[in-house]
Amino acid sequence: MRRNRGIRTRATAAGLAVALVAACGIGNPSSKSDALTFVSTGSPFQDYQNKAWAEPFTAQTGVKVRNDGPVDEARMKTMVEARKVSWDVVDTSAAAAVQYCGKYLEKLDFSVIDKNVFPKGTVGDCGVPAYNYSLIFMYDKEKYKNDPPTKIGDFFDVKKYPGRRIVPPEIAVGLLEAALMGDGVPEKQLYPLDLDRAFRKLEPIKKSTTFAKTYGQQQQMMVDRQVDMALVLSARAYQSLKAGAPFQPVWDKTVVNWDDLVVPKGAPNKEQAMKFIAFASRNDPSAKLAQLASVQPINESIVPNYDPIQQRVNPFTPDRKHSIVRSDAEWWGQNFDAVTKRYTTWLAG
Amino acid sequence: MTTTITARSRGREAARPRGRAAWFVLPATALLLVFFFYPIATIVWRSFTEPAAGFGNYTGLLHDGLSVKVLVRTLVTALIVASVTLVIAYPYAYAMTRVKPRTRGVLTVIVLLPFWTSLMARNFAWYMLEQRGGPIDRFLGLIGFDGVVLLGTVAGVTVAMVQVMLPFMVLPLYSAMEQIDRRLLDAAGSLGAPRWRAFARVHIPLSVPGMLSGFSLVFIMTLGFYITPALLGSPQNSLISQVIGERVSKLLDFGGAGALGTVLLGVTLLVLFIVSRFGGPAKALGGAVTHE
Repeated sequence: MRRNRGIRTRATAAGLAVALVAACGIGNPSSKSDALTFVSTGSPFQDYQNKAWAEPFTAQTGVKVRNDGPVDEARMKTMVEARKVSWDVVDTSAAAAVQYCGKYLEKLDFSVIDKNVFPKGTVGDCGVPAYNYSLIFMYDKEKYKNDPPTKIGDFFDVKKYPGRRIVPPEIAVGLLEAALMGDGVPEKQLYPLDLDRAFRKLEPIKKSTTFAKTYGQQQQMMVDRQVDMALVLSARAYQSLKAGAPFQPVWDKTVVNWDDLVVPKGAPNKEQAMKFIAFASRNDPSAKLAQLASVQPINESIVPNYDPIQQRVNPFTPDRKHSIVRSDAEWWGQNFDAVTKRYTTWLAG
Repeated sequence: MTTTITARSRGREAARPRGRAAWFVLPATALLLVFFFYPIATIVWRSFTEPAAGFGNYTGLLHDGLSVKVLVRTLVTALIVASVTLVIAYPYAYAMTRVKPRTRGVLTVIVLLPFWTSLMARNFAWYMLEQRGGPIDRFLGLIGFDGVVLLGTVAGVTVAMVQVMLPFMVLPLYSAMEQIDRRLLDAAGSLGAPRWRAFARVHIPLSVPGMLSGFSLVFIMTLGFYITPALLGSPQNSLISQVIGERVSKLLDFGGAGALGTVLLGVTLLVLFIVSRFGGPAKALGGAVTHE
């Protein structure tokens, strides 16, 4: 009887071990080279990327593109550490491409990807820019109809312009830059960011500002008119206006960032990933995405066929270009963690 | 005498099947070991080893100016939520023991109905209610309190959590109260106690196990609750689960997040320990169900 039980225990343990190994195996990507996994934000944005990049890429090369999302750097880190990477191409911030280069990201193969299609100073070892996105200062034109704000400093002036504000969920897309320029820092001397000064400038709006948790929330609150002023990304500004939000942009100090395409370290279909990135960087796919998603192409000589609402939030027209201020991905890559820590502490305090 | 003997012989008969029955817990134990204890052990381990070995992550929590504040805020919130649910649930559970079976059925369904509704749906409902221009805001405006927006405040999170947690308080309370022998209250009455005193001196003390289990259940669940504060709260008022989420997803600081998680685990175990001191471990966890 006892013996029997012992055997049964061992059998159970063996069964369990088999089950465990099987469970681990599920996460293991098949290393077929006629497919790759593209990871982005999810939401309609990734559908646009599919239409603009993945579908024509598959049509041309026969390589299937599988979608996954949302982008989660923590997940990527875990996959790389566990050596079970199932992602091939990831759309992430330029800062993250700098920060994690070599650690969690592969160096790109520039014999496949043409460096020359990108503007100078935008290409890193581990990432190339995919599209520009702009942080636009917008206000409710009915609320401020008598005395509309005209400069970035007005966003931080609660005395002259009382009202609810909303800012993006991510700190690296330009809030601190806007605060500093609102405080009079010339854009040439923006970096390294003077954090003390930036947080001092943010203090007066802290109480009346919603620090959004998602971009969707930002969009929803503008449409529902829960806020009167917003620092909002161009793609979301477009969606809000399309849904009828009565907002108007102010063309003063529009911070422009770009996202990078990167390849996680140990990606199963590295070669195809490089080809995909090379393809997405071409003019046609670039223009198509810009038009669908209301972002701006990296190659600024391309003029996408924007609809009238998109034209209202496009900072790259000749008469608005003066407002563009480029974010410094290099600085953010080096300081992201420290700033994020300080920002969350400041917020929760 | 007879009863003792039957009880004993029954106990002996039951011994063998019970010994074998122990094997039935094996799958559950295996599952727990693999999917609960192993990950938790990993998290605790990482909190001591990443990025450097030692107590760095823990001393970091003390000095980062955020964690202690958030931990205190979380504990206070959990305490408030547990206390308020207790105050609301107690009379309700009492009423459940005093009504006819059919009414009791209705009362039970009322408690369980939100329980069967998706947590996300309930939280979104609160989102709609609490936002600017929402029903609560407008109602308070009517009676002269303008611009009270609960969304994004600790108060707003607390209100919603009380509603979400209510079933976890009502059910153990009810099961404890149902065990109370009503004749004891009658006896107290016959000995001259007015009804309120009989209630206070007999009913309330006898319902303590239910109160303890409900309170600790709600308290502990509120401590680690993520969805409600993430959806209805704000970064300005974040609770500990949000800070842990932020550390992991934005900073990839698994060590620091692990340390925070370990502290949370420690607090939970401490609460369980204290409760079990008062009511016995089984009562603390299972409430009055153990009465049989």
